[in-house]
Amino acid sequence: MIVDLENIIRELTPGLIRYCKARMRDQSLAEEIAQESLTALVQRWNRHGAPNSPQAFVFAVARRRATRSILGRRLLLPLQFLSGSHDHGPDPEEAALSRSGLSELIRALKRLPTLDREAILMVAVGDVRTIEVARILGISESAVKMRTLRARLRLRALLEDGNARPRK
Amino acid sequence: MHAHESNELEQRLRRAFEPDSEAVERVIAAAMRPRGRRPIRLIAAAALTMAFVALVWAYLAHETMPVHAENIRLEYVGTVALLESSDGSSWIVSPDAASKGPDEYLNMIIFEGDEP
Repeated sequence: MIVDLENIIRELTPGLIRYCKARMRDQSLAEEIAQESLTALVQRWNRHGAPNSPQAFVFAVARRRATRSILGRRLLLPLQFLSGSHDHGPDPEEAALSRSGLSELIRALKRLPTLDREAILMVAVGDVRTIEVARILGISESAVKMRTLRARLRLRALLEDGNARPRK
Repeated sequence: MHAHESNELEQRLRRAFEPDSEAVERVIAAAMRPRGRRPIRLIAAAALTMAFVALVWAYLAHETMPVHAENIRLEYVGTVALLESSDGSSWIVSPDAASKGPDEYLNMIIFEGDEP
């Protein structure tokens, strides 16, 4: 049973970290959220047995925590400005992304509608099956497919037209 | 959108956020690390429960506090009852006292010692 759990965790982790990185755009925060989500799975497994879908369980936890963390950062931002602790210079993570050419991709992702972005990030980045994404997002499987397709088209258009560049 | 274009886009997305193997191992090791239940939460819950029980107990004890009969001495003289507490205060209870008006008095002689 422990072997099963470890195998599942090994299988899920790369996709989970990718998803968390895409959501958080911060390596350490992404790792932290991925780890917390997997820990939640281990605890659930040990106390009540395996969930119906470990993948859906882990990604649902990760999605919730990522959203909470992003909201927390947004709420703290005005306080950081007021206290003067906010760094006005370029964020090291952002700078690294910019150097690696990722910033354009991230900007394009940010311009997608929330559910479309979630759908494409889970399917294409996190390797989550469509049926599981439907369960996590609370929509039908066909809606997930439609949203993923729409997100792909929009993303591609944004990247080709250079619309993902920051607006001046 | 053609399938190869779709694959290309997905590959690009995956490459963009691909974690290094060290990060993957780090996260797996941290998640698999055995950890007990959080005792702080249990302790906090137990403390809150105990505080609540203590409050309820104190309230009920106050509400239903019995009169300490041993602190009151009760003595009957005919139809008159004489109550005397340990701190020296005393009450006289008589069925006649209730029927007296504001200007009427009940005359009583209380003897120390043997019965009159």
